[in-house]
Amino acid sequence: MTEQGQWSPEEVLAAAAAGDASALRQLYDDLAPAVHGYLRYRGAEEPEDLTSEVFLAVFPRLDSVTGGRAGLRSLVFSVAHARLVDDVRRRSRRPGLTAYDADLDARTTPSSEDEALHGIGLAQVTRLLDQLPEAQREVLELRHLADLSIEQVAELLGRTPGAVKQLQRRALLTLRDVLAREGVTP
Amino acid sequence: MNPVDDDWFEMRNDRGPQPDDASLDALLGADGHVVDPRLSQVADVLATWRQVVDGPAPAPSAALAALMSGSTAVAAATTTVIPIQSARSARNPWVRRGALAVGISAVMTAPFVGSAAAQDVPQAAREVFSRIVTTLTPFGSSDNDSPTAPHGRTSPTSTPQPNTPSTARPAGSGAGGGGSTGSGSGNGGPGSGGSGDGSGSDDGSGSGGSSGSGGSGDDNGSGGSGGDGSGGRGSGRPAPTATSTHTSGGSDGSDESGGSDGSGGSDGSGGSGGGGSGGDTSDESSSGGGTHAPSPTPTADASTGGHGGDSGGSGGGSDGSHGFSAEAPTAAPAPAPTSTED
Repeated sequence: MTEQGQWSPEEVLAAAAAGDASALRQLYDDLAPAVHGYLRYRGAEEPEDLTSEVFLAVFPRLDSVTGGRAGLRSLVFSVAHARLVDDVRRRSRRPGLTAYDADLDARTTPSSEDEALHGIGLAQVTRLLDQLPEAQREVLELRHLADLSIEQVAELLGRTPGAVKQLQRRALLTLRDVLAREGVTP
Repeated sequence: MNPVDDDWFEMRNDRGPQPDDASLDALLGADGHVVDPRLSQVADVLATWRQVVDGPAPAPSAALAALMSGSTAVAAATTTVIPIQSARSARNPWVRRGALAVGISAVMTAPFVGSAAAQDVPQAAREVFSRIVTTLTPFGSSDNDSPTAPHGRTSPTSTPQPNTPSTARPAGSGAGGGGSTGSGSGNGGPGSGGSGDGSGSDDGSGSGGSSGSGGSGDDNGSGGSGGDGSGGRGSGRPAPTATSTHTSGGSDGSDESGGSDGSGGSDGSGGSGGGGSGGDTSDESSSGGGTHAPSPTPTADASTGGHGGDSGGSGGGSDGSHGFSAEAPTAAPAPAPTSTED
């Protein structure tokens, strides 16, 4: 056993599967930001709690993970995607009514100065991506935000790799056209 | 052209050659980079979008923190796992008890049901059930039905046969108490006689003449298929001339209830029995012809379990005037034309 920082990814995974606390923590710190960002971006109601639920479901199954870190990442986002779908369905059945509180509204619109300083803002990116069809946007999210391969995305979405590749291509070309049409310059 | 084809997509954009797949793939992921300069704007957008997942990890929940700290007990405590089966069982313990009771009842009643299906239920049990059915249901189930037709079945050849007109002399009209499948003709003694066809029960009994001349019962119990026609319960006083011939009675039975011992009823009862053969004894027998006079000394209680050929042909009735046929429950009553009531 070497020190924690010297573990290879496979060793971390094996140690975490054996129940090593530091290895589990390392995996969480490595994957949780992406999971949390993915869930938050997709509009999960409680992304923090949902992230914890994802890892609570994944960690007991670490001994069954195949494919190393890539396999673990695929499993984590598969669970995250399923939990997100469940969350959306639950909210669609019981739409919550919450009084508006301006202090709790985290939505911001960047000022022109901010955009000038930092280029295109996240809100604008979100608006641009919302113009994509749902299937294309979903592929881009899993490919770009979750760092999943085409094969992993295909397995997660139940599509063929060729179909995923086509969706990805069209999404990027459409995004390029939209940027050119709207004159958005970074 | 299919609008979803890539060629159509390329032509619609009309922007010249499109980036290849390798260039597009290079844009994506954490280590995305720009290979094709025409995609620089897209790369910038994607880099900005990537900020979404570049934040710090959120604080784990209590359960997850406990799991990551190696405290599996705490994690198990915080993660409630409900054993569904045990919860369901504990929810209603009476369900299991009820199922157990039903199972025990089914096991206990299975032999009885089986024996009932095989028509092998004891007589006592049949009586009990007859009472139960009679008491609890609006359907009648008299006790008379059971003894006379214990199995409630009829022989394949059991067809009511009309009594033939008596050919006996006026003094001795005998009603043939035919068996259920056979016809019996009883020729009584002097002054009696007659013949009749009819369907009788399994336990045909003949009744002799009242004058002691019941005499000869010539029971032509032509049992159709029977072979085991029940002999009439001859009772009473033996007639000196009582003879009986069993022409076509049961095949397996001996005519032990013919006129010999079944003749001569006391006080007019008796007579010749049916042509049936003796087999096992039946504790009950219907009285064929005659007056249903109780036989003080039943001598031939021969009725086999058979059902065919139950001639039960009764000989002459008392005074030769009786002799209505013994009726089988399954056969339509066929009053003998020659019967006269007292």
